[in-house]
Amino acid sequence: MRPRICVVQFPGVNCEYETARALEKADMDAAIMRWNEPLEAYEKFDGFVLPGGFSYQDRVRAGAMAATDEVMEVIAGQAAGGKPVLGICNGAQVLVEAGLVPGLERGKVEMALAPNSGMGRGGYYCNWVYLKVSCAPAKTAATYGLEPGEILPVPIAHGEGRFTSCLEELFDSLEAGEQIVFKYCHEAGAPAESFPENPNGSERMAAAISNPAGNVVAMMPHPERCVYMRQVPGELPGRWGERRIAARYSAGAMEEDGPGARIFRSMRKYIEGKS
Amino acid sequence: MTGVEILVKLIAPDPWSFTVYDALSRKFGLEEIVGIERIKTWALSYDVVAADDAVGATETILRETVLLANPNRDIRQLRRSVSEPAVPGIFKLRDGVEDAYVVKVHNMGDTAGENAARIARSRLGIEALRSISSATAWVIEMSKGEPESRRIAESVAVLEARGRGLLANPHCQEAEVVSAGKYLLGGSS
Repeated sequence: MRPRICVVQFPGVNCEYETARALEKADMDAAIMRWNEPLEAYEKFDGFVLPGGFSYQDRVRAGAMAATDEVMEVIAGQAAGGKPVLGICNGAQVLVEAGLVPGLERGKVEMALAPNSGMGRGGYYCNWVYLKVSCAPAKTAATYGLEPGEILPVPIAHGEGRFTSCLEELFDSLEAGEQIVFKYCHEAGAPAESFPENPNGSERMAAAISNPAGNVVAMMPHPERCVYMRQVPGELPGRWGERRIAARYSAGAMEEDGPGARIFRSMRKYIEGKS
Repeated sequence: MTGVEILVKLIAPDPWSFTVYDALSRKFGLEEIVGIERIKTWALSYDVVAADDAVGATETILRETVLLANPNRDIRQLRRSVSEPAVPGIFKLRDGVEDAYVVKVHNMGDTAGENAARIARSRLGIEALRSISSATAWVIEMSKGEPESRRIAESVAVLEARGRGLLANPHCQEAEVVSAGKYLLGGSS
């Protein structure tokens, strides 16, 4: 039976339909649910995705207002029961503002996704970046089907994507607990210590962080924007760019999995593996 | 060094304020909060001794650019210190408001002020301008007086956990809680 995934549509998000399509491509059933449905309606799902966009127009801070909605209490409860929750871009900001990630102390807000900076460049930034799996793949819902150290090119588009915290040693704890799921890297996997490979100045080059159990993952890049090979630019250096060029005369090959699909397929495998 | 401050507020009703009011009064259940106002603040510091010189240079920035305020969109007030009360268009105590507190939120590593200062120095030749920093002043209007009003303002100022605090995330922002009487109405406390 295909897992049923809820894509939560907060007012102002704009990636819910492509996220639902990405889930369908990964052989899951996706339902887009508005944030203000009766709360019991969210409990029938096997997992959740908080999509990208600008929930509540980023009022106060990106993700801050959505984090105060009642549905986040339900999702927190479902996550505590082990269901996977993937927050993409604005969804990641919501998870951090709601205290679900990194989640060392339940409900406590332990970090921020601060405005891009630290690299001599701030402001909104869009590009393709490379992500390297930085934890044991079986640990998290976003990496369950990936190879150790696997590198994936994925697009980013954000102005507030810098994982940071005023808690000393928090990132040491996250490293030790393998909660840094993906790190920004160069094409061949070398650490991305500077802009543009690390696009926002994120501490420890973190692109995605999970809760201790690994079922809740906040990631700034947009895997739903590269689930088809046709969405990968041919000029992208590396294996995926070469595969895209090789696929250019074949309609079938262009519909094959892009790098982002591997993350959604991981989510499905995680659900199957845990059930 | 001489400093001046600019208070900036939207001419039109501010939807951000309504959203915060809804969150605090309905979602957080703080019925004592009867209104929220949002004021953008810019603090400018100059390497000059005379306050009039600082005011004159700031007026030049406001007249020649829309870096700090846009007259088509904003009401703004330039003041030399907090002892100058806000003009009614920026803030006034409404009927039914017993007390009001201001939560000033400043982004750590905020580049908006730095960028504005660089442009003012390079394009307007205002060499005496040392720095500009920005903040958002959330004015919390309440139906309760002291000490309840201060307690409520402090409880919503800093985000500590889901459902506890809102206006500043301490991992990337700083918050200061001051009475509106002191900060906006020219009072001493």
